[in-house]
Amino acid sequence: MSVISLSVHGIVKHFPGVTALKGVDFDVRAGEVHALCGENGAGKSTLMHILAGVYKQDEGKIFLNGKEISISNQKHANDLGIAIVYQDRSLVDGMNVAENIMAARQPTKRLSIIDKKRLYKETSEILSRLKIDIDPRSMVGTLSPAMQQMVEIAKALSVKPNVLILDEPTATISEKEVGALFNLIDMLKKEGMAIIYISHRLAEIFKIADRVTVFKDGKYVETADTMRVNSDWLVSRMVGRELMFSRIKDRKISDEVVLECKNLTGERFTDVNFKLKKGEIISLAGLVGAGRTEICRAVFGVDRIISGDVFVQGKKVQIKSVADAIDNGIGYLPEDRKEQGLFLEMSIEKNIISASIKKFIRGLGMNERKMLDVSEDFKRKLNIVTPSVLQKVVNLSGGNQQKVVIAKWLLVAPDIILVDEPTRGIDVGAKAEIYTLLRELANKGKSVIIVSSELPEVLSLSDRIYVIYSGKVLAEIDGSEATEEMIIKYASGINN
Amino acid sequence: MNIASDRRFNLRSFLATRRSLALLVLIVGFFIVFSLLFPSTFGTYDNFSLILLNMSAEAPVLMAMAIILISGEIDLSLGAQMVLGGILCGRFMNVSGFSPLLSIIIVLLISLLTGFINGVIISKLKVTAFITTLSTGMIFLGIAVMLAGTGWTNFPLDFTAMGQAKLLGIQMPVFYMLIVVFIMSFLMAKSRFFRQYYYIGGNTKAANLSGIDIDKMKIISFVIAGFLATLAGIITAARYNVTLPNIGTGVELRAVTAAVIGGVSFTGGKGNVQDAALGAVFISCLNNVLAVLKVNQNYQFCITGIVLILAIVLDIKITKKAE
Repeated sequence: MSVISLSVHGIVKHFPGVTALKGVDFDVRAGEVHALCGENGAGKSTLMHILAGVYKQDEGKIFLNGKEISISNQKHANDLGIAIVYQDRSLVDGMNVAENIMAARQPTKRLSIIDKKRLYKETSEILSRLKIDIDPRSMVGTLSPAMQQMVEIAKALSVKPNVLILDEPTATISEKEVGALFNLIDMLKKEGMAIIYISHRLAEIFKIADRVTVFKDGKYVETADTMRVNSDWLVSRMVGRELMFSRIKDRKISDEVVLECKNLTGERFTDVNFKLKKGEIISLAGLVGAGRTEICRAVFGVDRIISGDVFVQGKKVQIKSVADAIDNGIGYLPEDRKEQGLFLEMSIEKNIISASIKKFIRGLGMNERKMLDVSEDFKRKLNIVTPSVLQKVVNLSGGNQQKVVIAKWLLVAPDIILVDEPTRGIDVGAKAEIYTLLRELANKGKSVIIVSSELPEVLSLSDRIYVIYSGKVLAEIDGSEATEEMIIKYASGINN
Repeated sequence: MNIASDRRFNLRSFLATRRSLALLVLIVGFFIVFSLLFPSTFGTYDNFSLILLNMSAEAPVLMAMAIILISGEIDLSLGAQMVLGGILCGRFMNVSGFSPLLSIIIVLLISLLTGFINGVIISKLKVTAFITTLSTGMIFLGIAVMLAGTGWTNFPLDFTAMGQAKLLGIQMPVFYMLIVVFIMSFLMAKSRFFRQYYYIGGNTKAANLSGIDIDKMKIISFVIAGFLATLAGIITAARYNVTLPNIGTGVELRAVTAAVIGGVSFTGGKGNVQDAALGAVFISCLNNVLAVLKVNQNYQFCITGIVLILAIVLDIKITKKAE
C-alpha cells in the first residue's frame, strides 16, 4: 500500500448557529482516488474549503506527507501542493484557454511584457500531458461545459500539486463527456497524484474511486474499499436521519387532475411527464442541477418551454409568461427567496400585497386600511414573529421571511403552488410551521409541488414523489412506500 | 475539436472576433463614399486632419474610460478631473508665475492624488464606482470653478505652442493622441500587469481565486484614469489657449459612447482600447459629415444616439449567434 499523502484528524468547524464538522478524520494516499460521500449538509464541502485555505478549522490537525501544516490562504494551499477544482466555475469567459490556465502567472519577458510564445508553449505542454485536445487559443466562453471543466482541471494542475480535490466535477457535464474526465483522473492516479473526489452520483464512485468515506451530519461514518462494498452499503451509511415529522398517511385525494405536463421539454430537461391532483402534494426529488427547478420555472412561465403540453384543469394552456401562469392559477415560491421572492428593504405589509396590488387600489392611491388589515390577518394566521407588519422584511429571520413569501402567494390564492426548497436555511421550529402550513393548504383543496434536496422533507410531505435525474423523470414513487434509499438510488442515476 | 479547421468565411464570427478590422473597414468605406460624394469639402487632407484633431484632446479620457470599463467599473469624474487639470495648470502659469513645464508636472502629480481618492473610496470603503465618481466629480468641478472664476487665457507662448504647432500640416494634439493610444493599447494587450484588468472585469471572483490583488489593481486603474483625464485637460488648454469650467461637460459619456461602439463591454472584461479609439474615429467622422452637410447640431445628437443603440443591438445579436 502506498504512502499517505494528506490526512486530517479531528477537524471541527463551527459556523454561526451550526457546527458543520464535528471532529472528522480523513486521509488520501498517493496514487489513489478517495471518494467522499454524504447527503447535503454532511460537511464534505466545508472540509474541502478548509483544505483549500478558504476556511480555517477551529480544532484538529492537517498533515501533508507526515508533517503537520497550517494552511493560511488559497495561494498557500497551492504552494503546499494542494489544488482544488470548485463546483462553481472559476474561469473568465472572455479570455482564451491559455490565459485562463496561467491567469496571474503568465510567463513574461522584460518589463512584465507577456511572453506569448512561452505562454502558449507551456499551456500546450500542460494540455498535451493531460491529453486534453483543446487549442490553447480558443475562447473559454465558446467551449462546452465539459471542455471548460477540463480547463478548470488543467488550471488546478498547472500549479503542479500533489493533492487534487475535485468537488462535484460531473455536476455540469453530460454522461458522455464523463468518460474523458475519468480517463484523465485515471492517468493522474497512475502518476501518483492523490485525488479526493466528491460526488453525489454514486454509480460514478464505483467506477473511479479506490476507497470511499461517508460523512453524515458533520461526522465521520465509515471508510471502505470500493471493491468490497456496493451501492446498497453506501446508501445505507449515508441515510438514516430521523424523520422530523410523521408522514402523511393515506390521505383521501380526489381523482381530479389540476395540472398535467406531457412530454415537457426545456433547455435543461426532456420529455417530462407528471400529474398533480386536487389537494395533493407531490415532490420533484433529485440532486441539485438535475433540472427540478427548471421544470418549475418552465411551468411558471419564467423559462421557455421548447416542446410539450401543459394542461390546467384538463384544458390545454399556453404558458409563455409569468402573467399567463398566474392567470391559470399557478403560483411560485422561488428557491432563493432573498433574490427572487422578496423586496428586502420594503415592509412586511408591502411584500405581502406585492403580487396583488390591484386588489388594494382605491382611487389614485392605495387602500392603506385594507392593506394593514390583510397583513395583520396573515401575521396572526401564519404566526410571523414581528412587532409590526410595517417592519422591513430584511430584519426578519429566514423562517419568518419564508412565511412572508407564502403569505404573498396565499393572498393571490392560486390553486397550484410550486414551492422550491421551502425550508433552506430555516431553523427547525419554523420548518415545522411551514410543513403544517403546506399540509393545511392541501387539505383545503390546493395542490402543491415541492422541490427539495432534503429527503426527510420530501418523505414527510409528499403524497407522491417524482425522482428527476439529468433532466428526466426516472421514477414515480408513492409517498407512503418511499424510502430515502429508493430516492437516493434513483437520484444518483441507478435504475432498478 | 479543432476550431481552426472551419476555414469558410463567416461574417458573424468575423465581426465578433475581428472587431478592429471590421471597424476599420467601416471607417475606410465611410471615407471613400463621402469623399466621392463631397470631394471639395469632405475629401480633403485638411478635413481629414480636422477629424482627427477634433477627437484628439479628449482621446486620453477615452483611454482612461476604456481601461475602467474593461475592469468592470465606471468613472464619471473624468470630465471634472480634466477641467481641474486645465484650470490648475492655467492658474499656476498665470497667477503663480510658474513655467509651463513646472506647472504641468505639479498638475500631473495632483492628478495622481485625485485618482487615488476615487480608487480608495471604491476599493476600500466599497462604495460603488458610479456614486463615488459622481460625488468626487462634483467636488473636483466645484474646486475647479472656485479656482478659475470665469477661466484663464493668454498663456505663455511655449505652452500654447504645444497645442497649436503643426507637423506635416497636422496639429500637435493629434500626435499626442497617437502616442497615448499606442502606449495604452500596447500595455493592455501585452503587459501582464495590465492584462489583469480583463480578469477582474470578466469574473471578479475567478480573478481573486487566481491570486490577483483586486483592491490594489482598482486603485491603480483610477490613478491612471485621473492622470490621463488631467493630461487631456492640459492639452485642451494649450490647444485653445483658454481653460473654461465647462470644457469637460459630457466628456465621460462621449468616452463611454466611443468605447461601447468600439466593442468595449459596459459590464467589463471585453474589448480593447485601440478599438475604443476606432469607435471615436467613427463618431468623429460621422459628426464631421453631418457638419459638412450643415445638419443641425440637435440632429447630430439624435444620430449619435441611434448609432450607439444600433452598435449595442448588433453586438448582442452577433456575439450571441457567433457562439
